[in-house]
Amino acid sequence: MPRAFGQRLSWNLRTREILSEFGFHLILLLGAIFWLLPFFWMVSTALKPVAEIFSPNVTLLPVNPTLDNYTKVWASSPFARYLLNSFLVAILILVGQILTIVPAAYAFAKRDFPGKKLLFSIFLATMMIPFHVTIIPNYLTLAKLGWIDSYAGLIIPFLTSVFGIFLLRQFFLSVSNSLLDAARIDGCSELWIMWLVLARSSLPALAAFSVFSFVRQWNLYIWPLIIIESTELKTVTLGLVQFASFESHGVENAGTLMAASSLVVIPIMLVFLLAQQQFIEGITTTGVKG
Amino acid sequence: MKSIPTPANPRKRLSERLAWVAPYLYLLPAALILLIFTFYPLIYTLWISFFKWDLLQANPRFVGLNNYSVMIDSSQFWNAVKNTFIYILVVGPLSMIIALALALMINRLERLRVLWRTIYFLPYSATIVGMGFVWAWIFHPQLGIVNHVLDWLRWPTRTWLNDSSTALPVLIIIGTWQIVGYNMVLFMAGLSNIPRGLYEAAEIDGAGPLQRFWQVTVPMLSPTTLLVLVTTGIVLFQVFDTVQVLTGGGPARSTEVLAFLLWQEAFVSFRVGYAAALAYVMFSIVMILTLLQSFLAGRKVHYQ
Repeated sequence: MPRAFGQRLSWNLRTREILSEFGFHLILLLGAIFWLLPFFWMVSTALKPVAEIFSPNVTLLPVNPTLDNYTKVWASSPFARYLLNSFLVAILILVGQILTIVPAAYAFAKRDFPGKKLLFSIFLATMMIPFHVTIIPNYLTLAKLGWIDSYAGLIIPFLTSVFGIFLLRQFFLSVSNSLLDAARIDGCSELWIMWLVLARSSLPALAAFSVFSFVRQWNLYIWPLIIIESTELKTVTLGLVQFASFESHGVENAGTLMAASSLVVIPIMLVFLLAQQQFIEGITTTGVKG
Repeated sequence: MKSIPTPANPRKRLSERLAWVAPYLYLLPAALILLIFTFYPLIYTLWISFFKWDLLQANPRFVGLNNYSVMIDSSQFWNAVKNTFIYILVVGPLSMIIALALALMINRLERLRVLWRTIYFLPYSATIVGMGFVWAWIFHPQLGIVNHVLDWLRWPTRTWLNDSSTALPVLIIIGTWQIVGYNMVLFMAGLSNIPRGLYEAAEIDGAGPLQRFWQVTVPMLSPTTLLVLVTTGIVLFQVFDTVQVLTGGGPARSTEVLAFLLWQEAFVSFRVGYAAALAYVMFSIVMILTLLQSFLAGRKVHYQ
């Protein structure tokens, strides 16, 4: 009797587990439809001819898909330039950030010096300062330096990241000191140790940070909005808003506006999808919204 | 003449004597950027907030706390405070409940965890300016899919972003949609840190699923919950992009939030002194939130 009872019990448990797993998948699927709807609707509208956008019979997918909206966007505004600007600015910022955060993280993780704890808490405290609080003086500083409406103005204020320093420090702490001592005995300089021992052993963290930084810069709107005037310096967010205002918010342009939006969103989605593991791990390691 | 003993290798000696400087040199590039673009602005903003300063006119005039008293008397300011807090108080709890529910479900799955996590996280990394236009199209008064569905159900349609009673709710939907994934991954990390043994012990003691949730999950998750609460609060407090792009604070100031007001005063009306005072009020509120977090984290949060 006990054996049969035990079997039935475990069978019941197993069934319950399978049923709950199935139920969860079902709920998550229904939610995902709503969650992905904007992405789907953006691409679907972008591929519709004007007549279908106006039509009272809404179809989920375009009946006669066309790339007209994309060719119109491409012809009427310098989107290639916007994309190139955003890419260049984000990459240059990333390179600069890596150059400043690796030494700082190294100092905080592997060196002892007076005032280390205090300096580290001061660094961390800057993460609590809302970006908006700094924009007026930063605008005035850039004006004094003549960097308004320039690549320098887009790049230089962002050349370090406390989030990155914090993330890298966590990784550097886990690299054993004996590895560093062995390198020192071999006659390696501190710089060599920093870049070729520590930084190399923390490539996953650097990858996580890189995706994080790139996504953030690509999506940034308020800073370019404030300092950029010239069309040829505009980043994708600013270019898209300019495109929308030129085209007015009229209905007849929903197709081109969705096409233009997808030109901005899809590249960064691809970057995220390729590296989502690192991106999400970077966030959960530090629990910080960069 | 007394000869000074010379070191065998003076260069090495010098470098050794200067070795203590090295860590500071490593911090220097990052520290310089922070100093110029974060710390100095923090103090300079406070200084500016004591002046009446129109960027178009040359000379700032010291007015003491006048900007702050003008602000307190301004109904536009209180309206922005109200809108900002409605936004935070709806998006915050709503996004946390959805995020926790998603995390609880996904963490118990055997398959497809990465797929679901990726899908729900997607909006957080998507360019919100671009997705904002998509949401505006979804809620379009004449041709939006939402009104099409309402029409089909024979329910009354709305003009959404053009209606002062529905514009803020639409921004709330967009904000929630965007931030849920972020909170979800934090909850997922927090949940996987709860030792399984606690659940097994509770089960042996005869606790059902609901009891296990309230007596094990909720208390053990409280550090994560607090972290999510504060970071979400700080991010939501700075909502700007969707407002600036989609509504411009309207209709009838119904979506005017603090960050938008700050930008408008500083870079549209050029009332720099007043905008700086606004910035300082925002900063103070964020500081209070943060201090509250460390206070709570020190006292009430349950650790193992």
